[in-house]
Amino acid sequence: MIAAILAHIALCALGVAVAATIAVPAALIFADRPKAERSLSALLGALYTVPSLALLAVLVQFIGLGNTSVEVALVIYALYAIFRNSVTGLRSIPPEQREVAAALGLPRWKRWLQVELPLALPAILSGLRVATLGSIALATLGGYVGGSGLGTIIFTGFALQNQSMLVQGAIGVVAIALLAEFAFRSLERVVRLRASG
Amino acid sequence: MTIKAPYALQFDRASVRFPGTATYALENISLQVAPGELLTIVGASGSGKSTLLRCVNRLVELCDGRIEIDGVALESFAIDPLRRTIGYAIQGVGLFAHLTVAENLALVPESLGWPRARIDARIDEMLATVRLDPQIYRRRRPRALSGGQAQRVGIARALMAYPRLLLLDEPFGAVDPILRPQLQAELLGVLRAARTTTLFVTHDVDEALLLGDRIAVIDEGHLRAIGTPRALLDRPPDDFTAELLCGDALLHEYRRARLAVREQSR
Ligand SMILES: Nc1ncnc2c1ncn2[C@@H]1O[C@H](COP(=O)(O)OP(=O)(O)OP(=O)(O)O)[C@@H](O)[C@H]1O
Ligand SMILES: [Mg+2]
Repeated sequence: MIAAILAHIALCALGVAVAATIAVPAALIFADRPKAERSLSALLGALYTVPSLALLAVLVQFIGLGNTSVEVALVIYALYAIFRNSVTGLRSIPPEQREVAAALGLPRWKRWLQVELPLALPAILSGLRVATLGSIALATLGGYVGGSGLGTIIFTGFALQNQSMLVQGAIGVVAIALLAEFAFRSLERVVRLRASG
Repeated sequence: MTIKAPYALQFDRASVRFPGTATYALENISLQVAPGELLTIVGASGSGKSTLLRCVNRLVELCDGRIEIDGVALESFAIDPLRRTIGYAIQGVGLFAHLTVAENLALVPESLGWPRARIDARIDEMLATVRLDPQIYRRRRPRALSGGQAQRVGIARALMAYPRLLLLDEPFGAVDPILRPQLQAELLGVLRAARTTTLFVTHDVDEALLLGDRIAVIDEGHLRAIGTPRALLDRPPDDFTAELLCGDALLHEYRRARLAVREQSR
């Protein structure tokens, strides 16, 4: 059980981390290019609405059974929430602040790292929170396609008609979700305080 | 034959028109600023004062005419390196709330690749110049500063990297009238010592008269008058300038008397 919980957490953490490394820089690049950003959002949104079992089935066709397919699915679903929230956060930076950063002649990367990212961080974090919670639920499907995590317990319990295994698995998922929710909320509070001085 | 030193800043029939607007925000502005000079810019709200400043660091682009810095056309500079040599301070929102005072001050020197020790020494020097104790204020965040203190940090940041030009957009707009004269006097001291060529926007006529080596009067995107406070007060070139600078007879007398005092104290 503990091993399954840890595996579940690792699965989700990796998925969200990979998605964030793609989606946050993408948001920085696309936030002030509204046309391209709308197309990208539409694409990610479309992927987001593909039913998860269908997506997994397709991925298994190409990648095979196991954690890799689950991981790719997690990344695909997490991209949308992180990208959208990051774009919203970047756009809500007061134009005067962005303008001052430009007027100081700060190089683009410095404007991103030292001005835009910190100011958008509360919104980026709430994107990460939504993506993480989604991943925790979604990762249970891994049990269906030969992945690790709490899904294995749930699907085994389902196959064996074992009530207590099912309940254990479900409680594990809920516990991780509550923990993640709490951790992100606390982090967001700290960051929000910092961002406003 | 003498070779004339180039102007620190020159506008040559510069015009600005914002997309989607019918009229020019600035039209045919020509003026020259000598090295080390402090030019104040006055005019009503919406007359184009901020736009005039923002042309110089290319936050706004001209649609016509040209601007030269030290005799070199503005477009021939790469934009970010150019901006690092132009100090810019605006009213209120200029400081980054998530950075400490020291971090705000370090931004431009870091971009210029200064070594850490030099940046730290300069931060202390600039904070002392604007009369803020570095020991106390280095680590403060802008939230924990009064309006006047934040304004001083803004000016210190603009001056950190020895700018060739300083653009100040109503820097004392948010400062109460009790503190204003003190800040004005301090700023004059700093600028005289650094001999930094400065454009100073204000809609406070008395401030413009007090601080400016010369004053430019802007009205609806046009340059109505430019000259020394003495010249404009004694012989305003048109009715608009007379109305704005001289006011009624009593105010006119008062302003000339103050100017006389200022001229003597120089
Ligand atoms: N980005 C912009 N797009 C469209 N119009 C603009 C823009 N910036 C300024 N303007 C217009 O240009 C004119 C001059 O504006 P500017 O900000 O230069 O005035 P100002 O003299 O600084 O006024 P204030 O004293 O209120 O700051 C105004 O009519 C304003 O509405
Ligand atoms: Mg203005």
